[in-house]
Amino acid sequence: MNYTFQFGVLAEYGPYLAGGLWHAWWTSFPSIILTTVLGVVLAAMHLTRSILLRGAAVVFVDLFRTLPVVVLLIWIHYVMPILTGISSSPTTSSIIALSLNGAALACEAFRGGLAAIPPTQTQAAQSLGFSRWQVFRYVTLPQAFFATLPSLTNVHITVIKNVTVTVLIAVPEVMFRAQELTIQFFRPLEFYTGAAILYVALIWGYAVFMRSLEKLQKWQPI
Amino acid sequence: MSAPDPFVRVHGVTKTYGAGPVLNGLSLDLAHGEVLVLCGPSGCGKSTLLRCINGLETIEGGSITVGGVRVDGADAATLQQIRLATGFVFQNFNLFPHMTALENITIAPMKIRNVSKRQAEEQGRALLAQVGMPDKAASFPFQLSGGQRQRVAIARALAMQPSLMLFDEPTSALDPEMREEVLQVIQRVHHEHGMTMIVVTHEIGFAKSVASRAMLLDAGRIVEEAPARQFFTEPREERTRKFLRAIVNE
Repeated sequence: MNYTFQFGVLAEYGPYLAGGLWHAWWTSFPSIILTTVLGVVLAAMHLTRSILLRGAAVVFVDLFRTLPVVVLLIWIHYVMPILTGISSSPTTSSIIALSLNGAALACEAFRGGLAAIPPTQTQAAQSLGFSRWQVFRYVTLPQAFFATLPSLTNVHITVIKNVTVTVLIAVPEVMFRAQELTIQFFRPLEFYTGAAILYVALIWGYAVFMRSLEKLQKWQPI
Repeated sequence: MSAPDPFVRVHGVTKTYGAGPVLNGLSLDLAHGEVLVLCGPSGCGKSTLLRCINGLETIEGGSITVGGVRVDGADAATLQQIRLATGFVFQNFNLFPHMTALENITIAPMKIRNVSKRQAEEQGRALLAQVGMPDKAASFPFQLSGGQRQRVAIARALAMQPSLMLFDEPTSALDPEMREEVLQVIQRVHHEHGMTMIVVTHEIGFAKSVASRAMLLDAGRIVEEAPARQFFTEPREERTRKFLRAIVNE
């Protein structure tokens, strides 16, 4: 191997590279929130009596979990403005694309968690006079939340990882900056390794946070 | 002068699951304040009957009215009214595991009747005391014994101040020692509130002391119906005698 390591460049440009984390976080964090909220709404739509709502949820999930994120992102950022005349910033386009994709995955995670709640819980709540919505809101969803946490964490991690594809539309996150610096200094190994370490740190930190949420569960299933 | 309308009227009810009928043209009337004990071998339709009276199952033929309101075919709002007036106690308790004992009791009054938190908790604590568990308000279901869970479930049903209580084998998932504590609570509820009850149980001692009437179901039909004491001491039907012998020998 004919390559001289010069990790020294990271000492100089590392802070700039790491500054990309700020953009990575502010693209992924709103996406994670939207992913989760939309995921719950879609899972709830699956449980309604309305064929229309259920159908809409099925179409949404099938569409957005099959569309590759890159295609979705490029389409939203470059095709939508042609169709609607409304163009959005790279970060906004990215948040929309990541949220649509994430929501389809989160819906399935919540559906899995909800399916694990025994139907007798619903019957007990109905016998007390709860409406279908109240059963979901107070009985099945709060129980399903903790059952869903591990798979929801995976969905969120996927969303954060997908932030790297926003390099294609020039969101100045870590990968974009690594590319930028590499072109300038011809040090791909140092900068892309730096980018890898920064993303691992971000995602690892997030996973630790999500695991700490699991400890909030003070009850046990019976 | 005609007799007053029965509080619960089940008329010619049929219900099928897959292969055969579970309820086969079953009829019964229940007056206010009456306690009816239902017995029968497993699969005889006794639990299904309770679930139909609460609108948890749909029926195929016949009709069910509670307090003069038709249960079968009722819309969601009517069904909710009927369920508000009916307490249901399940064989496996079905407490909400993510809520404390007190929260299990207060959630329905707060969310359905819009009772204030303070008032609901006051009532909840009183009910916990009534079922003999004043110190368990903050316990989660997983921290309670089976008998305690069932007593919380009874308190949860009572919190909605129902005029009819349906008990679906309330003690059959419990150890013998815990059965007694639950049966005593049910007995006390009956004495204090004079509540109309339908109890699916094979506890003969309990049935004799609380029930006004008893009934044996088999294959979705009523085999024998009699005043409780007579039913358990001198049943008319051979089928009833055979069944009673079997449960005594259990």
